[in-house]
Amino acid sequence: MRLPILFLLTALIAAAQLTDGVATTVSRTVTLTADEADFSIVAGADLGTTQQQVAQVFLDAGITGLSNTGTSIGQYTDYSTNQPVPQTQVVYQYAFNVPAAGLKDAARIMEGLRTNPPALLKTFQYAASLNASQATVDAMHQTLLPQLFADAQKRAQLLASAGGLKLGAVKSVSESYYAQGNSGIAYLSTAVFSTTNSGYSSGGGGTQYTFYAAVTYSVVQ
Amino acid sequence: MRFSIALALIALPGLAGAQTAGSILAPVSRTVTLVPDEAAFSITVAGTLDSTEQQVKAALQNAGLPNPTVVATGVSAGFSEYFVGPPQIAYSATVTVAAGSAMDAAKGLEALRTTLAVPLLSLQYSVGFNPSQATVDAQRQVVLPQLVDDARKLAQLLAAASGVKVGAIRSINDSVGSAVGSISTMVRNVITGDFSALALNAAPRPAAQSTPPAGVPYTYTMSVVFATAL
Repeated sequence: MRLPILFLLTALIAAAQLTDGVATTVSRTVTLTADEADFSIVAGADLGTTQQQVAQVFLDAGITGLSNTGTSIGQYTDYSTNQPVPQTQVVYQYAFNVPAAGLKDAARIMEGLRTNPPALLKTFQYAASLNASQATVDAMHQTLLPQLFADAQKRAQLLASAGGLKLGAVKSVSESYYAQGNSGIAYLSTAVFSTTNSGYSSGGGGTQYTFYAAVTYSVVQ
Repeated sequence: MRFSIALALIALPGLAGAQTAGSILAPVSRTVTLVPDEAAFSITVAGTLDSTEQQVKAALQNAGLPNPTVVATGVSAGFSEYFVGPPQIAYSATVTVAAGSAMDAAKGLEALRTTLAVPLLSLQYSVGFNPSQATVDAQRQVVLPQLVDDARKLAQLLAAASGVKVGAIRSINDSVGSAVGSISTMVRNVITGDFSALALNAAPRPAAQSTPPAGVPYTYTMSVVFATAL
């Protein structure tokens, strides 16, 4: 009894997933211009230090557009002494971005803070990745859509010919894109502390994007 | 003829409509071995904060790599998470050459690596050998009619067993994918610059195969739904 039910269920599921017509999926992968530098900051301070106090350190250094992206409390170990000393700190995470051309200047500011941190900062890490802005992604999306449709038409035409069919109008379209993301963007941190919280990562969307389109054409009998 | 059948069934359009024509789903596939006629180099370069994409591109071109695509990906640590050095700009570069030219390109990269000069600090690369898109598409044109034949034969087999007749094609779709992914046959991971004293990391990893594989299996799949008549 179980087998016929399974058979029928599978048949109904399969029938529900298939739309009549010639279905094709196409994609194009492109490298976009990196026009935005995204910085992530992880700054630790003694318990009781406010987010505003820590943010002020970066504002004073010349960083603007800072946003607080997270707060946590973690235990850090100071390895600069003979006996490593665990310390509990409040950790604030921030993000800001600058135009790609401003990457080096902003990195130098961050580097100044990393190599010579003010007394308020007990730990400090930063990372910076270059990414395509949403505006750049959207512009490429608009450019590629007609090309994807042309690709889909060609592929579907070939498929229809192989099946002895004649392509009709477009019945359904869906499309999407995804970013490959930057890899290998590590945080640069003050050297004397190690953190028990290793969850920090950075990278952003990167510049390599793949745009997809799935197009189903009706069949003219 | 080879059927790779995950599922083959008669899908009646619901219990209430069982007396009208139903459909037969015929999924088929063929795996063919394609010649990897393309070598894709993935290169990671680190440079000083003052380095530029243009400098990286020029260095790669001078090394004999034609028209590399170079993008800066961000700021990275100078050496490792344990010994943080000055920040560097990380670059990612890609170059695709004909498979037959891969060795010459690799030699050029090796020459660049051994003479790497500031503002460039380190260079790593890997090479994947693949059939080009043109090769994959050309094979699709060959395989598509065969797959349709396979699907029709399968549908007829199923229809005969079920006492129905195969009608016209209602829907059709196909896809293609590498059965094993890209084959990376050569990897160099080299760090130069201020950290060369750290022999463990400075030593290049031994190169693997230096010639492209004989073939890469690609699987072409197709799903065809035929109308049926009682």
